[in-house]
Amino acid sequence: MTESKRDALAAAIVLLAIAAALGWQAYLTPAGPFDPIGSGAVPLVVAIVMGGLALAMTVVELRRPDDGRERARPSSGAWARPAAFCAATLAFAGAFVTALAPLPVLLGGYLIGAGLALQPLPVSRGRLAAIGVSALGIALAITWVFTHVLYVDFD
Amino acid sequence: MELLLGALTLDALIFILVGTVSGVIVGAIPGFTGGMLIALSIPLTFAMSPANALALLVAMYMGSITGGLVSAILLRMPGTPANVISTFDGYPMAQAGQVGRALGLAASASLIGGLFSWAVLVLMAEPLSRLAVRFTPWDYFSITLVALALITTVSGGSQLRGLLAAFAGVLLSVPGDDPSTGMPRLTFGWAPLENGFPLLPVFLGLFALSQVLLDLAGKEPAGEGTGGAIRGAWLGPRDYRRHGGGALRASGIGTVIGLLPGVGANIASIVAYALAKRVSMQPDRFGKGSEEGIVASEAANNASVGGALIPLVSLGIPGSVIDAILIGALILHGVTPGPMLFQNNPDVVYAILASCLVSAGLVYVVVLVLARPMTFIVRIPRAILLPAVTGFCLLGAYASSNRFSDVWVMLGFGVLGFLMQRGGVPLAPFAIGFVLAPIAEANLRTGLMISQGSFAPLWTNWLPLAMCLCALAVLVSPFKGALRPPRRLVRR
Repeated sequence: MTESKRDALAAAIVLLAIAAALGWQAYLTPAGPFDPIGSGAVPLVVAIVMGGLALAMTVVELRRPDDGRERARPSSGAWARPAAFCAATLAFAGAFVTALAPLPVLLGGYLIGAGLALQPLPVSRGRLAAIGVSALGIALAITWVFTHVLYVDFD
Repeated sequence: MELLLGALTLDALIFILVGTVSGVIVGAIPGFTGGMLIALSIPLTFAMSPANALALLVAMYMGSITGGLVSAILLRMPGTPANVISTFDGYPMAQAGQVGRALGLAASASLIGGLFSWAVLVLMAEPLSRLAVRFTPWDYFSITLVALALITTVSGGSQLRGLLAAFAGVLLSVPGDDPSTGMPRLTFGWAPLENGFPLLPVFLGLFALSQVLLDLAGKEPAGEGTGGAIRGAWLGPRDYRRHGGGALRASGIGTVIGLLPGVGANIASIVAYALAKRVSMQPDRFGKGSEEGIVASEAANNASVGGALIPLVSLGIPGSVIDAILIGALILHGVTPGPMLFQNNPDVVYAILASCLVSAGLVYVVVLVLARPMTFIVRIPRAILLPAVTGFCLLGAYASSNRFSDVWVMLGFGVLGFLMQRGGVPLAPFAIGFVLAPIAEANLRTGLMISQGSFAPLWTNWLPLAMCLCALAVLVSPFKGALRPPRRLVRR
C-alpha cells in the first residue's frame, strides 16, 4: 500500500471514529421541553452525514489503484527524528501540566532536547553550544513575555 | 472619514507597523503561514484593547500574504501558498539579474491590490451590514449554508474530502453548552469540555502545531538563493502606466474571489495569472520571467485580503481561513461578530479598516527595505525554530484560560490537523465550519422556535429559498458531467 493511501485511510478512520463517538452521545442527549428539535438533533444528523462521508472516503481509497510512481513503503528510519521530537514534546507537556520544575528550566530543557532530536548525528561541539545558547535565550524570552507582558500565572 | 482617522492613534500605528513587519518576515519563511502567526499572536493580544488587537492581527494578515513573495523570488521557495505563482516568473527574473525589478513589481502590485480592495471594503461593508441587520434567523441560517457549501467545493482537492472536513468542523464545534438551553451536551462527562473546545487551543493546534508536524514529516526545503545587491526596485511612472491596467484587473479578480467564503488568496492569484496570460501580447514569456505574470499574481493575492474582510466585518462570516481565526480573536476579546458590529463596536471596525489601509502601504516599503536581510531569517535552522514554535503553542494554549486541559486540546487538534493534511483532507473547510456552525445552529433553532417547529420559511421566503438553491447548485455542479448523457461521435 502506498504512503498516500495509508495516510488517507488513517484520516478517514479517525474522522469516522469521531463521528461515531459524538453521534452516539448526540443520540443519548434528551430533547428539551421547549425546543422543537432538541439539543441532540443537529449533531446527530451531522454525525450521520460525516460518518457516511468518512466511509465513502475509505471505500474510494481502498478501490483507488496504486500509482506506480509512488513508493510502496517509506524508507526505514525516516520517522526516528519526528518520533523523538514528539516524545520530547509530550514529556514537556506532561512536566508542564504537573509543574515538575520552574517553567524556564522545563522550557529550556525541552528546547535543547527537541533541538538535538532534530539534528543529524553526530552533533559537533560548536553546533551543540549554538543549540544550547539559543535554546536558553529563547526559553527566557518566552517566559518573560508570558509572565511580564501577559501576566500569566503558571503556578 | 473622521472615524477612520480617529482610529489611527499612535498605539494603533505602532501595532500596525509591528504587525506588518512580523507578518512580512514570517510570511517569507516557507512552512510558516499567516494563520500560524496570527494564531500564535492571539495570546499576546489579551492585554490589548480589541481595536488595537485587531489592528495588529489584520496587519499581520496583510504582511504575511506579501512576505512570501521575497522567498519566492529570491529563493524559489514560496513563503505561503498564495505566492507559488510568483515563483514561476519572479525567480527566473532574479536569475537573470533583475532581482530588484522583480521585487519592485511584486511589491507595487501588492500595494495596488491592497488599496483597491480596501476601497471596495469601505464602500461595501457598511451598506451590507445595514442590510444584514434586517435579516431574519432563517436568512442568516441559509447564508451560512451557502458559505459552507462554497468552502467544500473550492478548497482544493476532492469535494468529498472538503465536505468531510466541513462536517468534521461543524461536529467538533458542538460539544459544550447548548446555544438555546445553556445545558452541556456531548461532553462525555469531562468537566473541561462543558465550555466546548476552546477556540485558541484549537487554532494553535490546527494551524501551528500541525504545520510543525508536517514540516517534521517532510524534507527540509533547500533554497537555491540568488546573490547580489538589489537594484532597480523602486519603479517609475512609466512602469505604473505599463502595468497599472493589469494590476487593477487582477485586483478586481482578487477582491471578488476574496469575497467568496473559504476561497483563499492562492485561488485568486491562479485565476488572475491565467487571465493575464490569456490577454497578454507575449503569453510565451509567462513562466520565464514575465513582468505581467508577477504583477497579476501579487495584485490578486493582496486584493483578496480586503475582499475576504467584507463578509467578516458586515456579516460575521469568515471569507477565508485567516478570517475564521480573526473571528476567534474577536470572540476572545468579548466582541460579537455579525451585522451589529458596526453599531456595537465601531472602534473595532474602523481599526480593521485603518489597519488594512496603512499596512497595504507599509508592506511596499517593508518588503523593499528588508528583502535581503530576510533571506537570512528564512534560513534559521529548523532545529531551533520548530521547538520554539511548539513551546510557544503549549504555553499560549494554557495562557488563554489558565487551564492545563487546554494544552491537551491543543495537542489533540494538532495531531488531528496533521493527520487530516497528510490524508489530503483540507483544513480550510474544517476551520470555517468550526466557526460558522454555532452561528448556523443558533439561527436555525431560533427560527424553528419562531415558526413553531416548521421548516417552511426556508422555501416560502425569497432569500432563504435563493440561498438554499445556490448551495444546492454549488454542491451539485462538480457532478454535472456525470449526469449528462454521453455524446455520440458522428463519423463523416
